[in-house]
Amino acid sequence: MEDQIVITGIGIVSPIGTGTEAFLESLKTGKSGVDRIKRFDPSIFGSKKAGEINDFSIADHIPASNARKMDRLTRYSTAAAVMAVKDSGIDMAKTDSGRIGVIFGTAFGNSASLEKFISEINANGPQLANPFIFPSLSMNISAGTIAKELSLNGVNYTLSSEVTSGGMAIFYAVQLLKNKKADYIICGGADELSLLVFGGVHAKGELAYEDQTVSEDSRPFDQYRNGYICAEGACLLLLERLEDAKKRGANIYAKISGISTGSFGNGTSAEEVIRRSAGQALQESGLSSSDIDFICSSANSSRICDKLEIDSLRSAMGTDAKDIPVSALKSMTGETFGASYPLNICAAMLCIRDRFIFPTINYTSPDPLCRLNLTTKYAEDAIINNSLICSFSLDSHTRWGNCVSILIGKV
Amino acid sequence: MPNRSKRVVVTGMGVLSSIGNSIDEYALNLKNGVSGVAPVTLFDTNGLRVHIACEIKDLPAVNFPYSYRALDMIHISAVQAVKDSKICFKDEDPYRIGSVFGLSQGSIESLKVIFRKIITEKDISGLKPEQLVANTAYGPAKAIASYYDLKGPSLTVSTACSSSLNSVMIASDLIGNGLSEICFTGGAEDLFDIAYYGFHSLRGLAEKKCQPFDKNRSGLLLGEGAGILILEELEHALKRKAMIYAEILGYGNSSDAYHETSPDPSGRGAALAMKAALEDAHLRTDAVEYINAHGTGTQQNDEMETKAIKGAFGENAYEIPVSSTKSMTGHALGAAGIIEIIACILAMRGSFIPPTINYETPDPACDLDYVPNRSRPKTFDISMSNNFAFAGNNSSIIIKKWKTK
Repeated sequence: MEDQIVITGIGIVSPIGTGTEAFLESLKTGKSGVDRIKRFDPSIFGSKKAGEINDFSIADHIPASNARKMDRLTRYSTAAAVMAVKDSGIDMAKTDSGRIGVIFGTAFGNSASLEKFISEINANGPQLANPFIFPSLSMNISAGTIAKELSLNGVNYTLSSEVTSGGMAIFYAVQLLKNKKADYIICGGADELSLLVFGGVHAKGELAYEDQTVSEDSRPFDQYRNGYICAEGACLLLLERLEDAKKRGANIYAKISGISTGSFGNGTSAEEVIRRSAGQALQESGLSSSDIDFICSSANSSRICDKLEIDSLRSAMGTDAKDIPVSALKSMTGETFGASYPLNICAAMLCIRDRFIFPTINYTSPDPLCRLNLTTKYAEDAIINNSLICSFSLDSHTRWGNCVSILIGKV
Repeated sequence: MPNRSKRVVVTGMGVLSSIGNSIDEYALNLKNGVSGVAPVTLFDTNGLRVHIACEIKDLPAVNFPYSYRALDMIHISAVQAVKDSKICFKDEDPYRIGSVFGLSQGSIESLKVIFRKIITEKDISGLKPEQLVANTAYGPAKAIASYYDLKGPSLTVSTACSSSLNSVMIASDLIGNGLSEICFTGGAEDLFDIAYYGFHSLRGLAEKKCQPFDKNRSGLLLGEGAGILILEELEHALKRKAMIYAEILGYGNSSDAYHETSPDPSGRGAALAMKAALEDAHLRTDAVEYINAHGTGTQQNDEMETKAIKGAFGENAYEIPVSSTKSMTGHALGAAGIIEIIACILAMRGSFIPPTINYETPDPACDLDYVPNRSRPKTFDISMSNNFAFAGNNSSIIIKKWKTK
């Protein structure tokens, strides 16, 4: 019998709150984390808003002196990891450090440090390149720093695949736990808002903007959605095998009952690949589509992707799909890239635990092409046993992408 | 201990390095101890103390859907590997073919375009999406999946200097766990100024030559390279009568939890990775016949790695030839792992141990058999390859030559 993998710890740094309590409060009240950008002057861009984190202090999570060399993204990630471990209740002193791993996902890495490193070279010349910033240019600096902060000698990988980065990290962590390559894995992901990232995605024409009809906002599934809101965050989960969690009397949020991934090289095969991945996750779980009580949607207010997600899931789940309640977290947080997948899982787990469905905010004009049972405006009471989370990246220019589907359920 | 249920073999290879743009040329130059070092031509080194690197010579011009140096390099080595593997794609289920790549960075050329327009000129007009294509680490994995229409799991791992070794380990897990039958794996790294200036700022670059394990070693030489392996589930390879190079026997990864750039001088983390690889491969310490060292040529790495090999292999460490092919190829960062695994496979097939060149003065702190300056004829079956990276990432893999029964 294959091992069952469960989630026993949560660490959140997000535009709608740092820490599970603040995040949960925002979910229940439908709070928006989106506002005009404060970190840099957005005036040269057509889009001016982002999901920024402005209430975060690393000293709330680790001794401030440990954070001297950490840049912003590394601080977000380290704080999230520390919170996840604390939440899990693992006694680190009694655990073999070689059996605790970190699988981290990030789309763009530490882009603010990269920006600073290049700016200094441009200003001062290459011979004065800054050796104190250079280490933060490695995409694995967050995962390595988490290991250092928590003294973890186990497996340590950093994966990158745009918005599915955090989902791929969870996918691979599950493989490693099943192969017994580690006993505990801290996994998930993070990304930060920087001028470089914002400018890059803006140039690709993917961001929401204000027009004659609507304000610049994240409005998944709305008829007038015109792009996503660039955001930042870190979210890490603690994964372990069910029997270990039971043995140590852990508080279990949910089990991962099915997980599947696939990739596509052009827009036309995307729907087929996503449908298969969702179908496989369902098959692995041994459930039927009528057992799924909630789709915690990854829709980010993209014209194409919101509809593609619903169409793919509908074809994977057959006639049951139209009745399953759906809600989109990114209506509140914006697109947090590496953090987005694990944040979706956290939202779904909290809905399972506290028996509610959070609302999709900013939804005012239903899109006749996206017909679904969407929870809007206010949170609703609901008993959820199984929730499906399916996320995919689809590059707006190359049409390259991949997808991950995860089914979580009550233990 | 439960583990991967399927066996994983190598059935195709492609490589680009400063000492060879094909498998055959690379093998010959590894055997002959050829150095790839030359003055830097790809960017300006004025004002720096160092002006040399190991660039790829005569990179062929190619015409794939999108183009920048690292992506071209990936495509060229993929074409070599696919041809070598004789895979017939129309006989394969695309959902059973994965792609796992290791890159330390995205395209710096593309990044610089964004930087110049947004930060320097503060003018976004004329910034076109196609200039931004694949300016991320994950671009090449998706490009290859798209080009060959691979629909299986696609991952990119980015762990600095151990990236492409880690990609082979992840790809092996996918096949071992039955999630793919075939997997494209490897990586590429082009030589770019930002990394060069960064290593220069850390005083990590050798001014004249790279001398791993030598008493007077003064740093690494940056290089560039690309490599692709076609990994395949054993039964699948046998069924299609593929030519099998080698089997992936086992691997291990660990974290130092010590420092951002310096390795743990005790070698504890690196030894953990090597021990995990031995355990994963179910091998005793006397089974490994050659170690392709990370061997960067920095004071810290080479002494630490020597300690770590002793920590993992005990007294047997003195019996195992250990060499650094970076003395010839330079340090190809994210691509180092893949070109060094390929070096191991070529050495086993060609019955030689590649040398550590530029070795002049023994260091009492580095007292293993480093195969100085000349390759050594030897028929052998089992190699280990190590890579250690920034942020304390340690990886080790064990490969066995495939023998047709």
